[in-house]
Amino acid sequence: MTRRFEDRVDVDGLTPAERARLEHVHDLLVAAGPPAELPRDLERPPAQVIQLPLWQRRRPAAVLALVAAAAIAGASFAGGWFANGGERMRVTQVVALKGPSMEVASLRVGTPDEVGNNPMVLTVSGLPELQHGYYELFMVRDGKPVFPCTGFRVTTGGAMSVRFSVPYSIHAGTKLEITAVQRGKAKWPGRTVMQSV
Amino acid sequence: MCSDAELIQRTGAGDRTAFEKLYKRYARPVFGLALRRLGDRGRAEDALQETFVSIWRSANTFKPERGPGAPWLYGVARNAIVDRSRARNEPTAEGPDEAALEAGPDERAETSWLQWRVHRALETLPEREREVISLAYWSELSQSEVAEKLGIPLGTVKTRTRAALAHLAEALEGELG
Repeated sequence: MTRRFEDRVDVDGLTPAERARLEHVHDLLVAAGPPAELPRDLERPPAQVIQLPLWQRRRPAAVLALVAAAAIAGASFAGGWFANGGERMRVTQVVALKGPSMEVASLRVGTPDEVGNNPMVLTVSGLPELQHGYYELFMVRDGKPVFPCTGFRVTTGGAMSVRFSVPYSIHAGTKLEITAVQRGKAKWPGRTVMQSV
Repeated sequence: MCSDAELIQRTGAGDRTAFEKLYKRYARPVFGLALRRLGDRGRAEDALQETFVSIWRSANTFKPERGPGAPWLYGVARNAIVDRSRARNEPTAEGPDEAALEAGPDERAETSWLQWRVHRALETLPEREREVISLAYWSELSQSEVAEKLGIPLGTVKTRTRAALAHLAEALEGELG
């Protein structure tokens, strides 16, 4: 049932012009319907979850890129929880990665399950689309990308999130890399395009 | 209170505080738009993030002399949502918007824009006024029932409702107009 303007608003003392003005707003409210209920995790504005190292403050492009990465992570990061596609993850660690220009990524690491699978969400932006290949996230040992975590594709200019789990842990100081794997053109593990900062 | 245009310009210059203010103002309208277009809460949540990444990235392209901030933000949001849907070969859907389902593309676009403006304007209201509007218009409570639910006098409900409509009119006639 849609109530009339007079049922909603005390019209006593309103001039005709003011009444018409408020009635127009009433009509707009009725036509628009209720606003969407924002999930609690997304009610807060993006949080700064990645601290910028001092040296990067002299590089505006890098700083902007990292803040954008923080925005990607922070938009859904509130109180240590991350929601992605309806699933929630208790975030224990966030690792930032960046490339030579505006390529940025953040890896959110969740608490492991009872058998040691570590849930993670990787969010990437700024990478070009690969026509004949894909990207791969690696853990680095002895300066080389050794343990593959997940492969993914992107569309140019778009941000992308992928959820996965690995049976090994990310610790403070663990180095990560993202490589570009071109089918038939480059040897595994591919050309490095981003590194953890 | 800063205008949308000012906040967009400051965001374009890398001002994170301005970006957070934009998020507070527009997170709900963006989420609502994404929900109607994509028809799924999980996808809409992802689209909300991607929209604000797009806003952050493209804020420095905003030209205030070409128009106010709300239509620009609407365009960025709509493009980000559509791009996301296309990139994943996912069909767009219109949610529980009965009027839109029966309308043609132009009317659907007009309805989306109307909802964007109205829901954005709602974000400018003080919480106590927004609460009264929500109960009166979308919970279909009478003024007496609203008063009872909130535990405030009927006269206060009437005052707040009228004040809320006046504030919404100002918002809609101003930058959002």
